[in-house]
Amino acid sequence: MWRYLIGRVFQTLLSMLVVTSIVFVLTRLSGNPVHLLLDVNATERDQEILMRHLGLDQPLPVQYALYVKNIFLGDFGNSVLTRRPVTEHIWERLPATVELGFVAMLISVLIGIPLGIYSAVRRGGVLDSGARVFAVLGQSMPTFWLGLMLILFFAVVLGVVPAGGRGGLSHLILPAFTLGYFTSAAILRLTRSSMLEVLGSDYIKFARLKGLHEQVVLWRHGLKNALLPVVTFAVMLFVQFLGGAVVTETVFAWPGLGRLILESITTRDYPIVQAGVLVLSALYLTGNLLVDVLYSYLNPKIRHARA
Amino acid sequence: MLARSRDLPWFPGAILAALVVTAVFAAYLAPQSPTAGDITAKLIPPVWMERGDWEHPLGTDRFGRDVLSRIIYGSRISLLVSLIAIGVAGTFGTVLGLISGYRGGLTDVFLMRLTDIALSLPIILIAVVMVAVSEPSFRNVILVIALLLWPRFARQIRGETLAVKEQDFVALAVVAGRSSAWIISRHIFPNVVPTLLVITTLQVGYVVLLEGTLSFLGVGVPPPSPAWGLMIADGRGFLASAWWISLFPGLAMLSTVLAVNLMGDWLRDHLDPKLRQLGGRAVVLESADAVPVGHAIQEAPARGAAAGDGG
Amino acid sequence: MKRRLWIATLVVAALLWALVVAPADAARPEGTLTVAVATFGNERWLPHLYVGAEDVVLKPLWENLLSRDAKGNLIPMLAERWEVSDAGRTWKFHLRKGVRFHNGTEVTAEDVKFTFTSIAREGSANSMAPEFRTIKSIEVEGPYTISLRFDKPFVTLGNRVTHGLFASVAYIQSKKHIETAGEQGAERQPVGTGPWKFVEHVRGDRIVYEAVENHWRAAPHWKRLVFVKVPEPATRMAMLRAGSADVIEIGGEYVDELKKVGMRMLTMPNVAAVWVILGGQWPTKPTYDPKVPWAQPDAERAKKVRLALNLAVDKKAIIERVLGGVGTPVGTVNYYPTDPWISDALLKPLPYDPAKAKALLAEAGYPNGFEVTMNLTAWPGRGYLPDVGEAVATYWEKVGLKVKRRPVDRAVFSADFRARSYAGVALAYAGPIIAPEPWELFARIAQTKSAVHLLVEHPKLDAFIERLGVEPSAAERTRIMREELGPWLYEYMPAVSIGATHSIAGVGPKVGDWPLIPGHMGIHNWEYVTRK
Repeated sequence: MWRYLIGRVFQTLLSMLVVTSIVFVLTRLSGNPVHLLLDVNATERDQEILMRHLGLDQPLPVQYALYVKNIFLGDFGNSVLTRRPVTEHIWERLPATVELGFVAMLISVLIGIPLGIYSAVRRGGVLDSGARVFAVLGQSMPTFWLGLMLILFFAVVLGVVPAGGRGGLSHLILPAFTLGYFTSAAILRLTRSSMLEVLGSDYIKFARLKGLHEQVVLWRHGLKNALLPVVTFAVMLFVQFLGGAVVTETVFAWPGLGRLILESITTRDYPIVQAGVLVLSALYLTGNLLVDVLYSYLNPKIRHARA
Repeated sequence: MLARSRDLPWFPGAILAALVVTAVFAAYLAPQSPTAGDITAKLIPPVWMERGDWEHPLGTDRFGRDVLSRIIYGSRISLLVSLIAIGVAGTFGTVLGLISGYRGGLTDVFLMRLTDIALSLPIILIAVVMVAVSEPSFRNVILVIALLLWPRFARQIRGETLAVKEQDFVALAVVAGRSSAWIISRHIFPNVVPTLLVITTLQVGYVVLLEGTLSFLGVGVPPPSPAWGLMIADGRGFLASAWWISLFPGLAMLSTVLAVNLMGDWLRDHLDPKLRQLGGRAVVLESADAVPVGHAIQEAPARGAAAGDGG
Repeated sequence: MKRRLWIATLVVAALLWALVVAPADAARPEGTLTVAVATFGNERWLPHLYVGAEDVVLKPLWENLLSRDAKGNLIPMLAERWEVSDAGRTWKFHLRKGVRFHNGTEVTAEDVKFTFTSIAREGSANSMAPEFRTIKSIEVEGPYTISLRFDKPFVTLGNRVTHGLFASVAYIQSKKHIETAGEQGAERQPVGTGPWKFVEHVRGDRIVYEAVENHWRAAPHWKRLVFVKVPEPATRMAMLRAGSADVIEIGGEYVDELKKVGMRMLTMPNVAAVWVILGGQWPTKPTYDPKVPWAQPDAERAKKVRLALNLAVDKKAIIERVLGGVGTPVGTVNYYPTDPWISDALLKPLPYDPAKAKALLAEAGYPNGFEVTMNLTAWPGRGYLPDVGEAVATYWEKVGLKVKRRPVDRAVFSADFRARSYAGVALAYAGPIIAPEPWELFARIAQTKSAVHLLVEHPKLDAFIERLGVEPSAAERTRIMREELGPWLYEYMPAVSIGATHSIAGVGPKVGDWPLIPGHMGIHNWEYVTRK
């Protein structure tokens, strides 16, 4: 068990390193930020000075070595645009993304799980069909289009919520719903199939035979087991939301991490892009790792197989 | 198990057929050119509204281009991009998955870590960076999507390979001295084809959405191509005065992806009895030993949670 | 009895207070004015670090030596008077006394010297660095007197230190503050002399200002001024409609939408000249490609091509349809309809004549047209440029050209731009009115020796620019521009001149009207914005 764990942690770290290297190379191929930072009439000398200041005048391998070394020291460099530490910028924007991701996940779960359960229990009924239509629509709809239509209807035509930006609860509803709708569909389907599988399992049949009340069967025995994969999935989702609700953030002008990275790509602010993508990948990989560990620990079959 | 006639996917089938017909015969179906606009005819509303005109049944955009014609030609783009990208990614991913699953050992670990890394990259952002390096073009969009898509194939095919590998006829072939390549191509591959088919169909919807998102952000198919995502982006600022520019391409995209997803569901339900009974989760739970469950859960809705957004 | 007298006095005092003091209170600033802009530029606060694209969001905090009145003449601001001597080689400014920075220190000549030296220093990102580097010496002749000396006459220095400019980044900063707080400190907590003081800056999201009470020049009507950065015009539009923003930066394409949603439009007329650059007209440079149709060595054929490209485009339609009617077609590149040096001949654009264009192309040896790439690039504050490029491309296609659109980011294109390696490429550009006289812009972007070139490298054009640069008499310069430079530009036709455009802003219901400085491209004068 422990060997497995340590092995996975090591692999995760290695993966993160590879990810950041990929981004490093890609961003440097995409153009020099100096031209955007200086006026068109800036002299060659001005450019040289700026490049030296930003550390961009070194040959690529040297820059890379410095970069990797600094990561291990916890130094992600300074933004090319503001010269302030990258970590500051990321911390500034992370709360907004976390807020959005959390509420979106909440919405997904609050819509997806109940509908999934009812859909499984009343299998084949009208509600089941309705829920499945809802689900498949959710997974077929382009998020950005949904966001725009919601803005059009609720913010522009009805005027009940603001059209963008971050603020109170009213600012959060539309973007969180847009982000959450798609995944609520996934959660719904997963809950439904998980419930169906559990309900059809021997364990439940046995409980029914024992004469337990249907409700008890459902809720105490069935649900607990069925929800385990759903919960882990929801956590993964949250991590993915953190990962980059870029499009939702763009449509709703939400000041989150995804949008920061997107803008930094436009301004060729390499350090922010590198660190930002690294953070997102790290979250994903770590989340994966945690879920794996959690699942193998919780699932007796696997725990015993490994022991 | 023969499908009963009422089980056949009439609805999605019809839409998909219409889509293909539209894409192939676009030149005959579209009333106007999709790119030759006349700015003196800009922002004409759909025909049922005041100022509407049968010459432009769904209205015109800011450059006076006919929306209906653009939607019709746009189907070509969505179809071509998805098919080619999936072709490339699918081939590459399947080969990798087969090798990884069959050989096991270090090769497997290495390839799976590679897949992990590829999957951990925030798709949209990486696509933007990649396009920033070059410039938006048809070829680049396909490349970018393929590069980000292959891990999904690799992972699923690997899982299937692992399951098939345990079968008796494989063991027999090994004993009989057949080479790995022969076993893979003769025994393993034919057995993963049903899953491959299902995944492929499910990915089409995802890719159409992904291409739409990339075009929307300006890093997909370049103007003046009538890509649906581009059209939606174009109409963004004019939701109040010219809502038809964004609405109709969005509906087109929605219908296409919906049809594809429904079709994929049907295929999955009917091609693999195991899967059908449990709605697709059996693969996940039974191969718990082989595939770290976390990943399996993550892949469970094969469309991937990330399709519509950041990734 | 005494008691009643007391009460009476109190009542009278209360009445007097209500009548006199309270209304004065009612004039106190109130409310928050939210402005949505497309970009914050570099979001830097020091003179050698901001470029100029930040102008709109920096203006509330600072002031310049001079400003402009409604007629466009230079008027005093931080300088109460100034003298130009030695044919423009010496400029002497006398500062207003008693103006204080937000931290209490008084503005002196030392601050001006410090600011100008910063702008000119090596490695400076300031768009005016090249001009300020021509200053030979800065002499502080007293706490409120300062002289700038130049080797060559700088007849229009006044235009560089005025508040009414696009990218007027010669804001006077506090030497004491920057030296004591250090550069980092001064960037976190900037200090200026403007009617608004700094409150907060969340990078990439918002900048918050608060009205300064008892400012020497203006009393803002709003208490708080908040800028939010919203790059997508569609979102800004939605915010205006929903009331989350009171004023928004927006392009001419949205004029109809604004009308539809019942919002007002603020116009800043004639602030940018739009033309389609025909790249490659640099015969002396190594990147010159003689095969480019409009830049070929055969001057007559090249001219025919350029003429054809002009005749193929319906400029009136572009201004009306693509730019929402906020502009005027003009035949001479970078000339404005309200200029003193304009004439009917120079104003009139070439007619829209695609048949003639086709004929000319055939005459020039291109009966089947030729291939051309149209870059679609947006510049800060001029997001309509890709649309103009697209429209022009469509027109050119109608006369037989094969146009490949290339949407390219400014960042990616800037290297090509500076290296003059885009021969044969066309792109729509809008030259901002950085100064009232067109040759001042040309001096930056149209001389053979310029770092980037947006017109044509021609010895005659260079000669004009040199001549105008040292001519101290405004009347004489006007004559040269009207009778010599203008006609030459019109005749040579180096580009496809579309015309002069206005800048517009969308204004919401809570906001009243306010006066603007003519020729200023970005929204400004926030301290004069009234409340409804």
